[in-house]
Amino acid sequence: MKATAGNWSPDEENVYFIASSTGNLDNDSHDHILIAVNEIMTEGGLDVIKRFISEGKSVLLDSGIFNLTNEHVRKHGVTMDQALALPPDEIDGFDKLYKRYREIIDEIGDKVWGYIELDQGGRENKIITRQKLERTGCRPMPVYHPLNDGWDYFDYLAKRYDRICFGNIVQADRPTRLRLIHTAWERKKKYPKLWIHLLGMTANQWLLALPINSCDSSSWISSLRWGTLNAPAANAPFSNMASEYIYRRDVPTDHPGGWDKANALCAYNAHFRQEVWRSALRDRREHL
Amino acid sequence: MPLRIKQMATNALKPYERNANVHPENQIRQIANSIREFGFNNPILVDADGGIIAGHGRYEAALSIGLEKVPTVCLDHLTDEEKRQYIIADNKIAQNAYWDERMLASELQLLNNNFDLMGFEEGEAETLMLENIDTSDMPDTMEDTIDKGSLLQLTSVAVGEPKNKVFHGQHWKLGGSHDLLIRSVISESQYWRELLFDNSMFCPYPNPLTALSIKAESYHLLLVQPDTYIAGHMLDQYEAVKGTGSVVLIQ
Repeated sequence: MKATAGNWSPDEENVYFIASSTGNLDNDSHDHILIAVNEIMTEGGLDVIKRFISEGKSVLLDSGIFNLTNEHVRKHGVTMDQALALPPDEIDGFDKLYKRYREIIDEIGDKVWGYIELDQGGRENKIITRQKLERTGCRPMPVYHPLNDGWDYFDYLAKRYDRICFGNIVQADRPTRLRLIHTAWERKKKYPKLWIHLLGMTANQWLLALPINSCDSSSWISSLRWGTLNAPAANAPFSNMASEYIYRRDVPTDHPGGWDKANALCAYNAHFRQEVWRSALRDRREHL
Repeated sequence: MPLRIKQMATNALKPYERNANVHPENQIRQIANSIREFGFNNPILVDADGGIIAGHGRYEAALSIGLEKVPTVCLDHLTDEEKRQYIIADNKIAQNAYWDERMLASELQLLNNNFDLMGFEEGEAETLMLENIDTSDMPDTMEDTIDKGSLLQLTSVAVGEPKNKVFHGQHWKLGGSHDLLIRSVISESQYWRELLFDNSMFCPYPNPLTALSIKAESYHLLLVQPDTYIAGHMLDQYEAVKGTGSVVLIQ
């Protein structure tokens, strides 16, 4: 069994990571954050992450492959699946991303909660890249793509690693997504110590029934993007908040009704998604 | 055989008594809103006696808003058995389609309004968009209104230990109307089930903002939260916005 790197604890309760840019994540209301390498290509960006770590935040480092393939899709007019399937040496910018990924891991790899592998090019290429990283002392979390890899590869990873990520399920429609999570939950029973992280998945009502260990999403920041903020119950959409809870754009960002406060309220709402998730699972464990 | 649209009196239509496709009250309301907004564009399919073959939801919606006549198409070429098969087929086959969620989200992003009219529950469209759209390309669609930010200013965003200390078994009243029970959702319903009234909305495992949401203005919320940390924050948040004394310990 290979131990993936990071300062995580297998005994930790379920975790919801909020994903975004460093600017959006710079608040005190939730302490589990996911940041992708493409967001910290500069030393200034990395300094912000170091500050987050010094403030006690748990940082999950994403490789930035999703952004890389998206850029390739836009530039070359191929589909996301086609771009993801390309070997690393055929996708624009892989070498630059790999170099930056290594630099960041060398600096903070043992201080983050974990880091996700460079999951480019299908299972064979993912294995090659991961083994290359492992030979140099990196211990990334492997990514399993249920829509592409075959369930035998899930077992391959589950037998070898303490943590794996479920990738790309956001590409699937909702019924398929739910079915994949169901299947993952059933399969996980064979590997009770395996930690599964769902990439791009909000801690929603599904995960009260299928309590996979952790997840992340960027949807926590809805009021800043859409001008709507939903208050959930049991982590399902319940009711929107009135427009008086949405920030004003005609005032400085640090105004009491401005962007900074709205950002913090989004993170606060996300923090309580995680706490509600944990609360519901504890209630079930104790009373069912 | 050409199909002709004929206006028929709603009281001349007869719902199929063995119709297995159930239309919840909320869906009837959505159909009625759609008819009001877009018009009655999808005729009800009937047999020669006015028996409804397809369109039971539209029929109920028409009744709910007092329409005396509705457009119909008579399918008098079907045998009785074919009618019964078609009543099921019309609904079942429609269910076999699925959404291209990225395309749907993209469309919703452009429309960005009236999601309820399109049949979405509150928050559903926003969630769909957030999960399916690359937000780096997103246009800024928010419009400022004069009241924006006024309640945001009052909210608490601190996540340390709550000021209000709560304990298992307590019953709190919020704003004189909503009930917060610090109880198990699963095994202690005997303590809260009698607090559900006609105008109640049951909110298991609420988060601190739930009692301040729009629905809280028109419904009685029964909030059951076994976690004292979350419940304490719910009280802190409510007091921060509604003022000191807005939360009261009942027992």
